[in-house]
This record gives sequence, C-alpha cells and structure tokens, in this order.
Amino acid sequence: MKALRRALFYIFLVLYLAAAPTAILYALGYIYKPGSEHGLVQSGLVSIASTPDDALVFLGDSRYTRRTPAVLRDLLPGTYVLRLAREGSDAWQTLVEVKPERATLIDRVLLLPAGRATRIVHDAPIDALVDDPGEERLLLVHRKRLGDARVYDAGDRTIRPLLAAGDSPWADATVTRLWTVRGSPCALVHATARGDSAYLWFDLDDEDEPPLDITRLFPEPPDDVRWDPRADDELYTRVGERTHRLDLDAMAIFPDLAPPARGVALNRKRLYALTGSNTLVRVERDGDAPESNYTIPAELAKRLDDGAHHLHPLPDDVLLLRNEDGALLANTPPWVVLPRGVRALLPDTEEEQWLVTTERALGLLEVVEREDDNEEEDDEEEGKKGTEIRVRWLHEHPHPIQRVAWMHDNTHLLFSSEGRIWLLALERGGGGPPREIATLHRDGAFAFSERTGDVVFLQADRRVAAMNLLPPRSLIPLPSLEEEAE
Amino acid sequence: MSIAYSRSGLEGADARWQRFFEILPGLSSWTVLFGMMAVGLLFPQTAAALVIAFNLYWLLRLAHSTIFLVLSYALLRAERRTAWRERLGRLPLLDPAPDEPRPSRWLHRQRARALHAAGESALDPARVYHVVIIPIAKETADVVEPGLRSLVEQDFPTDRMIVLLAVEARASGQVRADADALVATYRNRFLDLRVALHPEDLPGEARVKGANATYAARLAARLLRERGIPFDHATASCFDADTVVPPHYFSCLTYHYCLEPRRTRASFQPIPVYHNNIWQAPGFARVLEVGSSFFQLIEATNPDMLVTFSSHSMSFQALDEVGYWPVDMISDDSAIFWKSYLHYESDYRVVPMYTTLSMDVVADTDWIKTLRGLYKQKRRWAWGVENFPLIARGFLASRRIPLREKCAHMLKMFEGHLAWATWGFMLTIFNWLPALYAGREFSNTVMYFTAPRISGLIFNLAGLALVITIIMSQLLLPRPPTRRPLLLRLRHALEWLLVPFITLFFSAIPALDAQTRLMLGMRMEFWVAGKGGGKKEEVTGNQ
Repeated sequence: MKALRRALFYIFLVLYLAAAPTAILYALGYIYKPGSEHGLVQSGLVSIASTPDDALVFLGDSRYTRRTPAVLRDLLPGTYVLRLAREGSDAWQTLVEVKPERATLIDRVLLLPAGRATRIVHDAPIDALVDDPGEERLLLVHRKRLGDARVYDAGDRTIRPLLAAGDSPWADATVTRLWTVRGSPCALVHATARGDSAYLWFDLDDEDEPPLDITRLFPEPPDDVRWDPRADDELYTRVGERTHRLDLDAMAIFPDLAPPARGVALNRKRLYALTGSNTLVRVERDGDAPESNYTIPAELAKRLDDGAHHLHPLPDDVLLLRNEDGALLANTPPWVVLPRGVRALLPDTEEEQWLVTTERALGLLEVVEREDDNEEEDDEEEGKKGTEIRVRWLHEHPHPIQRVAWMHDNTHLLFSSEGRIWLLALERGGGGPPREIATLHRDGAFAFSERTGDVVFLQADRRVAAMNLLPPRSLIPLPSLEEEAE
Repeated sequence: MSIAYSRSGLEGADARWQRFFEILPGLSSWTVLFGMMAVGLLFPQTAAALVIAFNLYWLLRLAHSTIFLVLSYALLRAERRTAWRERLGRLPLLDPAPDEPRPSRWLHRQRARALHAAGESALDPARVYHVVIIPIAKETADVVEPGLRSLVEQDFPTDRMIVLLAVEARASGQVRADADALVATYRNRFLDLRVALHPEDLPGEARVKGANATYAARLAARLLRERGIPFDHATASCFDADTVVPPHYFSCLTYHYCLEPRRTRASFQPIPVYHNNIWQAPGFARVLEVGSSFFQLIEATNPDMLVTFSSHSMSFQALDEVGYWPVDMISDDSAIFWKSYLHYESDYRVVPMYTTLSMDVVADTDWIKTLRGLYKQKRRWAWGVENFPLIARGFLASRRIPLREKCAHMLKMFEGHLAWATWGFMLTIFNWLPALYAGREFSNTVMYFTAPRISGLIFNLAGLALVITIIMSQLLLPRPPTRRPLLLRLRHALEWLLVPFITLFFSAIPALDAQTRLMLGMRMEFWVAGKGGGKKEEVTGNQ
C-alpha cells in the first residue's frame, strides 16, 4: 500500500505539473498550431449571438457547425469576415478583428426580417407623432385638434382617442403646446378654445380617466415644464430664472423652490439648480435649505456664458452643461467637451451610455483616465481628479439627423434623416455602416417599442405605419425595485 | 521527551510560540479567503488562473482519495469475513487458516512478516485484557445500553474485560441513576463493571471528556494492579457513549495487539461508521456522516500519517506512561495520539483495523436542532486544530524526531486544516467570483470564456468520483429498515447532490469558526451532541 501510495503520488504530481500550466495557458488563449510559421501562438475568440438566434455562422472561409449563439475559439489573430445567414432574415456580415488573448463580443447582432413589410396602424392622416410618453405609447396629433388626438399603444398595438369617450368640453380645443417626458406615461397639454385656455394633465395608462385640469397651477405661461417619470404627481416649472413645484395631489404651487437659476435638472427625484454664483444646489422637494452645494470649478465658470444652460448630472459626480449654442462643458479638464453644435444628450435605458447628437453626427460620451499627471494637483482642487470626458464619434451622416432612439438593449440606434429611418449597430451589435430600414415622412417622427419590436412612423402620406424589427419580448416585465419601493 | 501537552501554565518563549501557532491556521485561512476575494476583484484574470490551478489540484486529490477509498473498502470487505476469534485460537502460529479470504490471508502474512522482521513473537491472546472506558455526561440508558450490550455480546471472553462507566459528577440524577442501573444489570457479565464518578472541577481540569476518561483510566490502572495484570498485556478503549461494537471487535483488537511489533507503542484505529440511526437521520446528516466514514477509510490506507479519531483503542501501558488523556482539551481522541507521539519522540504509531464500530448520527427532534447539532459537532471536530500549536511546540523542542517526519506531519496538519476551512469556499463561491465581478476589461478576454469551460470539464470528471462515492456509500450502509429498501437507497443516492451545501455549511464554515476562535483566543466549551434523537423518534413511531 505504501509503495502504491508513493507511486500514485508521483504520477499525480507529474500529471498536475503538466496539466495545470497547460490548462492555464489554454485559458489565456495559447494553442499549438503545427507548422514552422506558427508553433505556440496566442489565439483570440469571437462570441457571437444574434436576434433571432439559430443563424449559420461563417468566419473567413470556414463554415461553423454551431449556430448562433456560438463562441468561435482558437482563432489566430487577424481580421476576418464574419457572416451570419438565417432563413427569413437578411444576410449579415461584418469585419471582425481577432486579437491575441482577447474576446471579441458581438452578442447583439440584429438580423432584420427579409423583405420587411410595413402595416398601417392608423389609416387617417396625422400631423404629428409624439413618441415620448412611457415609451410604449405614442401620441398622434392631427390638425392640432385635441378631439382628433389618438393614443397608439405599441404594447398591444391598439389605438384610441386621447380624450375619453363621451362629451368633452375640450374636444374642439387646439393643442398649442405639448410636454412629455421620456419614460413617463403622462402628457401635459396646453389647449385653447374660444378664447379660453387650459393646462390638461393626461395619464395615458388610464384610458377611462378624463384629463385633470390643472390650469390654476399655471398663473403665468411657463418656459419649461418637467417632471420625474418616477414621481409624476409633481411638476417643476421654469418661468425665467424662477423654479416652482406643482403638487398635483394637493393642487398647490410651491413657488421659488430653488434660488434663481441659470439651469435646472431633475435627476432621480432630486432637483439641481445652477445659481448665478455658479453654485450647483441640490434642492429638497419641500424647498427646505439645500442639502448640499457644489461650487463649479472656476475654470469651468469662466467658460459659461450668461444664457440658460441645460444641466446633465452623470454618475460619478460628472456634471455636463449645455448652452443654447450647443457648447458642451464638463466639470473636469479640459472643461470644453465640444465647443458648439450639440443638440441633445440622450442616455440609454440603463443610463450607462450617453449619446451625443449634433446636426449630422452621433457619438458616445466616454469618461477616460487622463494621462497627464502634472495637472493632477490642480485638478484635485478644480475639478474631478484624473478623468476626462470625450466624445467617441459613431457615425457622421451626410444629411441632418432628425430623431434618434436607442434599441435592442441599447446596442443599436435608430435615427431618421431625410425621409429615411436608419439602423446603426454599436460594437456589440457588430458595428458597420448604418442600414436603411424604411422611408417615412420628412418630419422624421418615429418611435420604437422594445417590447413588441415595432418601429412606428409617419409615412409620406401621413398615415401611421409599423414595421417589426425584433421578435416580441416574451419575458414578463417586472417592476424595478425602485418602483416597488414607491 | 518531557513536554507538557497542554497550553496551561506556559511562560516566556513557550507562551509566545503557543500563541503564534494558535494564530497561524486561522490567519492563513482568512488570508486565503480574503486574498482570493481581493485578487478576484482586482485581478480577475489572475484569480481565474488560480481557480483553474486549484480545481485541477482538487480533482487530482479527489481521484487519489477515490482510488484509496475503493482499496480500503475492498480490504474492509475482505476482513469482514475473517474469523478473528478462530485466528486468535491459532496464535502464536502465524499461518492463516486456508479457508479465509485471500486478501485477508495476504494481510495476515504481511503482519506476520513485519512481526518476524522486528524479531518479536506474537503475544499469547489468552493473557490479553481489555479496559473499556465509556465517558458519560448527559447520555441516558437508552443511548448507553446498546453499546454495553454489544460488549456483552463479544465473542471474546468478557471475563477479561473491565468496563468503566465514567460518569460526570455534574450529570443529572437520571443519568447517574441510569448508569447505576446498568451496572446492576450487567455487573456479572464482565471481569469488572463499575461507575467511575468523576468529581466536578478538579484542579487543572477543564470540563472536557478527556478529564473524565483520565479519571476513569486511573481507576482502571488501580484495578489492573490489584488483579496483577501487567499494563503491557492490557488495552484501553475509550468509546463514545453511543458506540456499538461488532461481536468480533475485541477478538480483532486482541489479534492486532498480539501480532503488532512493539505493541505498547501503538493505537488501534477501527473505521467509525454512524449506522446506529443512519436511516432515521435527515438526508444531509446521513451524507455528512458517510463522508466522515469515507475519510477514515482513506486515512486508514496511510498508517504513517494516521491519527486516532473518535472511538479507538491503545496499549494501556502507553496510556499510563504518557499520563493519560489531556484534561484540558476537547479533541481528546487525536490529542492522545499526539501526546504519545511526542512523549515517545515519534516512536508511536496508529495501526488501522479493518473493522467498524458504529455510532449515532447527530439527529435531534427536528431539522433545525439537527442542523445546529451537526454544525456544533463539526466545529468540535475542527477544534482538533488546538493540537497544532502543541505539536508545533513539541517539534521545536524535540531533537530526536526526524526533521522529515516533523515536516511531513506539520505540512499534512497545516494543509489539512487550511483545506478544511477554505476548499468549501473555493469550490462553491470563488469559482464564480472572477466572472461575477468581471469588469469590461476581463469579460473581453479569452480567459473569461475559457476558464468556466475548463472548470466545467473538471467538475464533470469529478462527477465520476461522486458516482463511485455513491456506489461505495450504498455498499457501506446497512440494509434500510423498510419494506421498500430500494426507494430509500435511491433517495440516499440523490442526497449526495447536497454535497456542495454540506461542504460549505458543515465543513468549511465550522472549521473556519473553530480556527477563528483559536486565533482570537476564544476557547470552546465541550458540547455533548444530541445523539440518539433519531432512535427516540423511531421508538415513538413504533409505538
């Protein structure tokens, strides 16, 4: 037994000494390729997944027996043509670069249905399509007449009048202004009729509920109205530099909630105001003393003009400011992210990626570690230490970009331009140039529902059409924890 | 060698070394755990490589153990058919009976050859006596009597057995009355049977089983002297109160004692099984205890490194010469081996006996109590780490113990305790840690995709060992007391799927708990496991 034990010990020791380094080297990508040019080489891999799945995979000259989703291992470094083919879908291909030890993730390839067909969802002509409410619903407005306005529910693909059935005194009213907030199922309408005007609050989730007349909460016309989609029972209005809170439950105005401000932002149920003295104040909803102040760095303050600014608080204490000329400034050197031309900042649904849109370009904001160490000491006092905000440009379009929407779990962008809808895949979607999806009305209005996979748009003849791009989601949408807590 | 096998009364360098070695195992385990966590968070690629290296190591250790488990079980099975009593009749002749199983005859020849090589002859079995000590603290007659009855039913002459019920004076009136009643019932069946009432809180003693057993052993020494029985012709067996021995146990022990060269420098270790109430216990407890038996089976194949565990026997002369069991330590079963090993400066060993003795599985009246009881039992076993500083100090002090032996024992003990406290975490949690905390940088590497694949392959191969283990457990377990034994056996096979849960909660965490307590100087009180609950339930059920 002793001899056997000793013999086995040495056998297992040798086995371990051979197997462990081999396994670790293989895990690091090392493979042995016979031939004088290769020998021991460090390989890379490609992880590919598509929607819909089960597509044939071709890499270079090889066809793989595995279908998507698949991991293509032991690939020698280089550039390959990756192709996917699936019955009923457009063929797809991209150039993929395989690097040693690295995994290239292309796990959100969108295979568009072959011969994409549009279907008419509203046969009567429509003037405008408003896509913000709740992301699942669209407001269809015609002739600016409130009685003609419709709500299209992209979730169950139904359409209904905005005003509940029955006589409404506002049926003939004209929609003069309309406010919606991304992610909120509510809409605020300013309507006028026969010399009267009213502010009407619609909850589009409740189709039987008549609108709430909140006119008395607006003693003067607001410059801007906002609300947090997580708390849509209170609105914040801006009149000049003044900010008021409107409590819809109590039907009360809480005036001058914040000090006179050059810009305000609503973020996670908190109001941030940039005062004239360049202090960012976080204001409590009851208007009590500010909880915390942040004086923006002097270097940044120098670069602000006298006009109003849009505030965009980002995670990790990054603050972005956008003025009326589209200059994008940050509270970290070199302070100016883009000198002009930024039209909007659009976060993805997870608020992890921020899309920058200019008239003809799309880019993503990136927070990168700054390499210049000499400035570190100053930066600590002045701004955020060691980081820099940059824009990584994704696409430059020959024509003006009108509307943009995130889609497919934030791996693709849909945008409209010059009467066409385009699909742009980000890295995980395989990248490449934008693909044309459909033609639409020149005002470029469209909306996309992640749940149904439908893109809904105004055709050139002003009828509302839908096209399916993605299989409908089968998962039951669960409320987020935050919503639960509320 | 004169070394006090105790942590009490140490001063100066001894006290400092003691403290250092008390801290070392716990600190090492925590360092491994926190180290892996930190590496997993900061350098996930390195962590994934370490996990692969560890998984492979674990797989090979598992394969190694499985081979010896199968071999050991084969020997146990072969020796099961050995007629020990008849063998004793043939001693001192060393030829085995021709009708005995071949492996058994082979083992016998090996032993006889070793005795011959040592220039010794076999001891006459007719001159061998056995002292059996059964420490009792809370156990009532229903726990103790089956074991006592199994002693009565020995095929070895019981008129050469002295049995002492070592009862704690602090035990309840019921316990003491039960002990007296048992003595009254079985007194005439042994050379002597009496109660040794251990006085409470004697100076220098902790409330531990070893103190009770030592008190009874001193009484046994007096009884042996009174009867003129030389200590080198007597064995001492310290049995847990629920220990039930097979009818041939003392014949088997006598055979091994007679045939062992330098028999007074040896302990004799049977394979402990937990069959008394195994089919009444909850599934997780059953798997856990079968696992403990397997561990002992594997250990039995390595006598050079074997340490006594639970109920076992030893030369009474050695017990007397080393000064009996430590009176301030919980892990008296292993401590007595190490105390003897240091006393004789490595000239002491454990002889494996391929026979079983059976004890109760911890099984209380409900699951929660059973879980708690099992946890505490495993923590008490893991408290065996209290031997580590004493052995380390002994090794530092001894010049006669070969360095190679010192290193081998220290390494095995240290690695054993480290593995006990960390492997459960490594296998169940840290395997997934690099992937769980993977940042973008790591998730874009080949390692991120390949490491789980390699680990998956390793776990699949480990599944083979699990299948063998399940088969072995079915072979080792007694026939289920039911009309549908197949169903129960099938259920038991499925119970092995609980292994990851058991490994973490009834192996790693109790061991880490014990090591941490030792590290922080938080000594443990002796805790008597709530054994016999399963049996009580069975009686109630039958009624």
